[in-house]
Amino acid sequence: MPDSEVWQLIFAPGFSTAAEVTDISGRGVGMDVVRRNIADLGGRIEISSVLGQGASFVIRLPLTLAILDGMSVAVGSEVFIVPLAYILESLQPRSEDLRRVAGRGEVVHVRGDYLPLLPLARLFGLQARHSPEDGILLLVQSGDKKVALQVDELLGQHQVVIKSLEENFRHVAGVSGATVMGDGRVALILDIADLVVTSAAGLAARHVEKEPA
Amino acid sequence: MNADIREFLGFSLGSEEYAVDILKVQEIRGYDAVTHVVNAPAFIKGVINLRGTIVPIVDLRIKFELGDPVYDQFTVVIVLSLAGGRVVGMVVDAVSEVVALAPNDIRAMPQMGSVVSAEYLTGLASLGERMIILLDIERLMSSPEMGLVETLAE
Repeated sequence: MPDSEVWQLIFAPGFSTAAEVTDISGRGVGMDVVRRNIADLGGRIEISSVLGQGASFVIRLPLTLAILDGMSVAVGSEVFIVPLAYILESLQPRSEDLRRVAGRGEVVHVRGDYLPLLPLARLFGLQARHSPEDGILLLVQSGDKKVALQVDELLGQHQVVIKSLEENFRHVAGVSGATVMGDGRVALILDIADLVVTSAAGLAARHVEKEPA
Repeated sequence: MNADIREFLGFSLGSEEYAVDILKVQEIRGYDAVTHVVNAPAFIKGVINLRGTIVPIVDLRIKFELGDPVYDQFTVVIVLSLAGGRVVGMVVDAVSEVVALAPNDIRAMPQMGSVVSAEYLTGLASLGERMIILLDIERLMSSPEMGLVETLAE
């Protein structure tokens, strides 16, 4: 194994060279977290080390975090951007795969897994064009949680420039920012991590005031 | 010319006439398609792309409960430039004129109940037969009841 690959081992979760392991240190967690966070920002970390002389760590981060690979989806009359990094797959469900769980909303059966179904139209107070079995499900993952987002249509894949919504406005739950589409219209970028977390808490129930579509 | 004279931009909402400090006005434009913001109250119409910045649009006619808002070719958006560089657009029925008012043209607001808290109404001015309601737009747009800015309570 070449040295460069050996150095990478310290990023492996659970890898430790500590002689003594306590409750909080020496468990081989820290460097894994470092690499994961850098990777989340779209960067990477390099190591070079010479025995007895020292080690250098080079962290490379993209100059701008302002560009994002996204999938534009239509929900009712609106267009939203789903960051590509969160998307696992998209599928059209068969009606027998859609199940209701009393008091808990709907789930969709995908290859042995039951995933919570999050109809974006209902969540955002819009009028969906399709029923779930005619719509498209986007399976997204954040952390270890998976959720199926129900949308009306997949429009295409874009690189979008992230614009702040908070500069002139406030934070909106479930939305991480906005972008300007090719036709000059504004599309909101969905905050998948937030949606996945709040899907458990029932985001739809949390919002009382709704914009009539 | 008296140095105390201030200029206001007059606009109409339904049958009422309002005015805001003209120094807060950045531009006036037509009403364009807006992108709805999810789970926002009805008077927040959404956001628009104003030369690359995302600007929220509020409809004062809905906020002030002044009849059914119509959107036609006369519907106007007054783009305001507020403290801290914040830009907000407000939908009004029509922009009327620029009025110059001296301090003694402005009458204090009588005590009364209104849809909007009276602290955002700075006074009344009469112009011939007409009455113009002066708005403290800076305070109104930053107030928690507009929900345009993050408030500590949230």
